[in-house]
This record gives sequence, structure tokens and C-alpha cells, in this order.
Amino acid sequence: MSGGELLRLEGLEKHFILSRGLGWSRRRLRAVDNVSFAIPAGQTLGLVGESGCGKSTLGRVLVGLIAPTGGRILLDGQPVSPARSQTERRHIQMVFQDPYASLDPRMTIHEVVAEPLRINGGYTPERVDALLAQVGIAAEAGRRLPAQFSGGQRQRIAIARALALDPRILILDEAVSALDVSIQAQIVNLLRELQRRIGLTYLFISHDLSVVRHISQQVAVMYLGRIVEIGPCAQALDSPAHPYTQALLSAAPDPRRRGRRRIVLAGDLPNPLDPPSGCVFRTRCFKATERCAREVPALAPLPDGRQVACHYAEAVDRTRLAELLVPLTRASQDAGIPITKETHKEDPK
Amino acid sequence: MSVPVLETRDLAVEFAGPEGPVRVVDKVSFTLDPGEVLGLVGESGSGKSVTLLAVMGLLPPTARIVSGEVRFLGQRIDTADETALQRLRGGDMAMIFQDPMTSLNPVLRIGTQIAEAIALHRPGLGRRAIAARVVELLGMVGVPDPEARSRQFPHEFSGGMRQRAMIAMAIANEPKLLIADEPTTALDVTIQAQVMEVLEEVRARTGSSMVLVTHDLGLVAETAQRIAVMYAGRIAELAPTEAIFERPAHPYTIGLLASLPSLDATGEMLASIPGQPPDMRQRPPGCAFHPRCHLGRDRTRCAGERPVLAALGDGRLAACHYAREAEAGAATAIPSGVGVAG
Ligand SMILES: Nc1ncnc2c1ncn2[C@@H]1O[C@H](COP(=O)(O)OP(=O)(O)OP(=O)(O)O)[C@@H](O)[C@H]1O
Ligand SMILES: Nc1ncnc2c1ncn2[C@@H]1O[C@H](COP(=O)(O)OP(=O)(O)OP(=O)(O)O)[C@@H](O)[C@H]1O
Ligand code: SF4
Ligand SMILES: [Mg+2]
Ligand SMILES: [Mg+2]
Repeated sequence: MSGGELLRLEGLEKHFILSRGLGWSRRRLRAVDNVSFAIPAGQTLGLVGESGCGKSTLGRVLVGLIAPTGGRILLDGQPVSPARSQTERRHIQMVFQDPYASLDPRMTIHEVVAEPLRINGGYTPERVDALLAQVGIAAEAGRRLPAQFSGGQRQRIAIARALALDPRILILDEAVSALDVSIQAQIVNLLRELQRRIGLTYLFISHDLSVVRHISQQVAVMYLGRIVEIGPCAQALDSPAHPYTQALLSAAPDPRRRGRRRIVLAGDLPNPLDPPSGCVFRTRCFKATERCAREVPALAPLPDGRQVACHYAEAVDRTRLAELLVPLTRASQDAGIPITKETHKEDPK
Repeated sequence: MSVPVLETRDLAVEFAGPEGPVRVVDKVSFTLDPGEVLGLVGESGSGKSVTLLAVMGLLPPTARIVSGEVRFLGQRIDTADETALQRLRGGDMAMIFQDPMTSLNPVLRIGTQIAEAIALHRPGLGRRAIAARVVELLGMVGVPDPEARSRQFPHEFSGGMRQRAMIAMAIANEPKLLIADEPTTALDVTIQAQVMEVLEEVRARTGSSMVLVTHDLGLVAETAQRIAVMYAGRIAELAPTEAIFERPAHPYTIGLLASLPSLDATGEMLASIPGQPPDMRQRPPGCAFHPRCHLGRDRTRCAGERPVLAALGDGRLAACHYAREAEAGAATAIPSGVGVAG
């Protein structure tokens, strides 16, 4: 079942045009900017990046909730039409973060899962019971309302509903982020088991790199609407090459790596309406030079095949990220500057 | 030994409910030494926030402390009157919450709010001195251009910047105790790293002790000297950070650590604790964890008798009848082995 490429994005873009007040001035927000990647059937691509970088927007475009402003989506090699056919729609389903908000509180669990089947045809009570059983919910529980279930159980129900129409791809938008670790582990295991059993393909959106590592073969790292690094997890997460990927991995607290030193990025996320010139990451980057302000780095392959958008891309083993700090610390010590302050971006040596 | 900065003994809190009172904090005891950071972790609803609210005397009207005591620098504060508590809060005892907007007033300039916090506790200080202190504090927490920034309103700050402003306010009077409830949960990891760094720098300078509540085991691992793990309103295990991760002795702690995904272990199923955390209105009898416990599930003692938080040596405490057995089995349970649930 796995192998062939199921989903491909080519230069996908979603720009929001915001009009400011009553004036004529309009501003373009590049929420998703020239994104291209492919996911093989039966595999998982993890999508990570900070708040507002465009992960959900990308998911919403893929599932057809909003129309792209550019680029193409191909399913099984066939372009998906802008006005989606019923089949195209049922092939791509989405599961959201908030298990409390995403289920209609007045519907019984049985009805929640039955609804897409009633709309598209194919409803039988047995089918709904089987869908619930597949996610570990007893058929008798179908009579109850969402309020009577815990967060983890509601997320199971949301998954059962998304599976009702036999989709080929699930977009999981922070689907386990709100859950406690022990419950999160149950849901991650369920997703993996479903993938193995019915060959589902996932786009797994998350800000938790460890969870992404567990469930994905490939990972894409997004910053301000663009992919800055993409490749197999064993490359991009074990020896990250983009300074942003390096900083994310270094900043994520990990009880298994206590007491290590970490890269602390300077500054805030930039305003997406007024992105920096050149490389969008340069205002927070510890490697930035003048060139970065002038030239937009293209997403280009390294010798190992993964792609990186940085003029100074260099793969560094994850366990040795702290060493990147050494020259930096020396430079800032010479200048009498504490390393964690807003200052070291001014003067990258 | 010096007097602990904070001590709770058998603290119990109940909420009024339609079917009678619900006990959500059940005999919680811990101490916090000068300069120490104690991490308080546990699943959602396990009673972390309510414990801290009880400590600060900020419980909602529907809740009350039904037993036990709270001491701040040796003095009872659970029985103190509101005036005394108000003098403490924002002075020797300060709080940092998850959502800065709950403690920042949206219509007042950031600088004005910090100035008020200072003036309230140091009435003798002149306006000039206060203004200078505000700028100093904002600079200390890494707000760039603190002078100009102090004249801005909260909505003009980013999330990370607001969290810094709140830290500046909390440390304004050099508190002896900082109480931080999920201080960085709403922030991105790179911003979280900045904020934690700032908090640590400030603590190193002022020597404050801190109780840090979070559900992020990685964050406490890097910040706290000791960790208390809560389950269903009780402390399941309390031990030095190293020991919690290297030699956990409560089956719940072991289950939690086992379910934690790691960047290194991949390709296998994650271990997970079967079942769901209990409803506080129907806390299981005996050990509250026994229905989900790989050791206690079928043992009558676990279902019948509540385990007390008992010392295991080296400053480690666990509330489990079979802590020794659990500890011995932990090595094989992590990273895989604890009942893999579907
Ligand atoms: N309907 C819209 N109109 C205008 N701007 C929008 C709209 N939806 C999203 N945006 C903007 O697009 C950018 C990307 O938002 P998106 O929700 O995709 O981010 P995200 O990566 O999912 O963030 P998070 O991790 O917080 O969920 C943000 O700057 C957001 O403000
Ligand atoms: N105002 C309230 N009225 C009634 N019950 C409450 C109230 N606030 C909290 N509780 C209950 O008290 C228990 C403990 O809640 P608490 O907020 O301390 O949990 P927590 O450990 O801080 O969880 P989280 O990680 O979700 O913040 C929960 O069962 C909760 O439902
Ligand atoms: S007391 Fe029994 S049920 Fe509770 S944690 Fe220990 S072994 Fe498990
Ligand atoms: Mg999102
Ligand atoms: Mg809480």
C-alpha cells in the first residue's frame, strides 16, 4: 500500500489581503508562501513551526476549507479541482486540536460519527459502531453526549468521525497537543495502528518535535509561511542544518537532556505583514550576515537529499548543537554583551 | 536547617458541589527551602492550581481549606486575615500566571502598572526613584528600549514580551517566594526558552525560591531541584529532580515517564497508562491510582488502604504500598513496557 506518492503540493500559496481601515491601502499577508512537498502513500509528514507560521492555513487549504491563491494540489498525480468533487473532498479529512470545540455538544456520539455518512450516503448503525470500535470506544457509549467524555476520548471520537468516509489522508492539526502525556501516548499509538491497518497517509501538524519524530518519516519546518527545511526525520531532526531547526531543537526542553546549554534566539517573531527582507529568519538568526538581508535563500538540496533554505546551511548533530554557541559566546563576551539579550543579532561574526 | 520559605502540611481543599463537597486537594504536604525551585507536575485537573491558590489565599468563594496548614517563613498564613495577605502578595510573595492578560490591566501603560506595584509596597519611595526602578526592571527582563516600552500598553506587546513584563512586576519588590503557574505554556518554545532564561537570571540575582507549576516534564527537569508529582489531588511522589527521572518509585511517575515521546526513541509504540484520570467526585478508594496501576490493579491492599507519602531515603518520598517493587521494575518499564493501551 505504501510507496507511491499520494499527495503533492506544487508552489502552493495562500495570501490574505487585508484592507486597513477605510483607506485604500491593502496589505498582503503571505500565510503560506510557495510551499512544495510530496507525501508517499501510507506515510506521515510532520509539519512544525511556531505560532502563526501558517501550519493551520496550509491544512485548511489542503482540506478545501479555504481556496489557495496560487499553486497546485495533486492527489494520486491528478490535480485537485478548485471546486472540489465529492470524492476529492472525502479523500482528505481533518482532525482539529480542540476536542471540546470540534464536536457538536447536542449530538450523541453515535450521531456525531453518523453525520458524514448520512450526508454522503452509506449510513448503517453497524458501520458507526465499527468506526467507534476502531478507535476504542464501545458501541453502547454512542448514546452519550460529548460532555460525558474526557479530552482523550473526544479526540478518539473526532478521529472516528474523520474516518467515516474512508479518507486516504488525514490532516491532524495539533490533534494531540491539548492532551496530557499519558493520554497523548494512547492517541499517538492509535494513529500509528490505524495507519498500519488501513494504510492511511497523515499530515501531522504539531509544535512538539518529539511527538513528530515518533509518528513521521519526514518533517517540514515552517517559518513565516515558508518551508525552511524538509527531509527525513533522521536527517532534519537528528542533524538539523537550518539555524531555525537547530534553535527549535535546542530550545525544546527535554528531561532526557537535563542541564545542557541551549541556543536562545534573540527577539520576537517578526510581524507577518512586514516580513524582513532577504531571509525571513535573519532578524533572529545567530548566523545572519549582510547577505541574508539582501538575498532570499532558495530551498535547495544538501548532498544527503534533504532541502534547506539558508545561505549557510550546515548539518550539525543534534547532540552537538550547544557547540554552535561557543564562537557566539566568545564574540559576545569580547563585546561585553550577555548572550541571551537582544543584542547578538546586530553583530554576527 | 533554615526555616522553609513555604510549608504546607496536610492541606485539603474542597469545592461546594450540587451533590456535596468535592475534595480536589487531599492532604498535600511539601516544603520549599530558601533559593529552591520546586516543580509541581501532574495531569490536567490534578489540583496543581488549586493548591497554589490555597497557599496564596486566593481560593474562589466556592472553595475552602478544610484541614491542614500553610506556613510562610514559619508563620501560619492560612489563618491570616485579608489585610495581612494583601501585604504579602506582590511583596514577599509574587505570582506569575499563564495568561499575562489576567494580571495586566489592558487600559494602563505597562510602566504605570509596575510603578503601582512598587508604590504599594514601598510607600516611602519617590516618583523619580520608582520611574527609574521600572526602567531598570524592564531592562532586567530583556525588554529592549525599556524607557519607551514602559509607556506602551499591554496590547502593544507580543505574548513573550507581556510575559516578561509580568515577571518584571512580580520581581519588583524582590519577593522571597515566586509562584509561577504555567508561566510559559502559551508561548512558543524559542520564546519560552528566552523567558525561562530571564526568570533564572532574575532568581539567581534575588535569591527567590519558586514553585513552578507545569505539565511540561522537560521544563521542570531543567529548572527545578525537586519535583512533586500530583495525581487526583494528592502528591504521588516527591523527590530530587535527578531521582524522579533516574529512580522513579511511584507507578504513576513511571507511567508518565514511559509515555513521554523522545527525539531518540522512534519507530516503536509509545508506552501509555491505560484508562483515564479519575473524576474527583468519585476518587477510587485506597490508592487513587490503583485502577490504572500495573502493580496495584489486582491487589486488595491498593484498593482498600490509602498509601501515605513515605520516605525512601535520599530525600525521596512516594505514596505507594509497593514503591520498592515499582522502583525495581522501573528500569524495564521505561522506555517501554508499561501496559501499552490501544
Ligand atoms: N482568515 C484570515 N485572515 C487573515 N489572516 C489570517 C487568516 N487566517 C490566518 N491568518 C494569518 O495567517 C498566519 C498563519 O496563521 P495559521 O493559523 O496558519 O498559523 P499556525 O502556524 O497554525 O499557528 P498556531 O501554531 O498558532 O496554530 C497568521 O499570521 C495569521 O494571523
Ligand atoms: N472554580 C471551581 N469550581 C469547582 N471545581 C473546580 C474549580 N476550579 C477547579 N476545580 C476542580 O478542582 C480540580 C483541580 O483543579 P486545578 O485547576 O487545580 O487543576 P490543575 O492541576 O491546575 O489542572 P491544569 O493542568 O488543567 O491547570 C479539578 O477537578 C477541577 O475541576
Ligand atoms: S499503592 Fe498500589 S495501586 Fe497505588 S501506585 Fe502503588 S502499587 Fe499502584
Ligand atoms: Mg494552527
Ligand atoms: Mg492549573
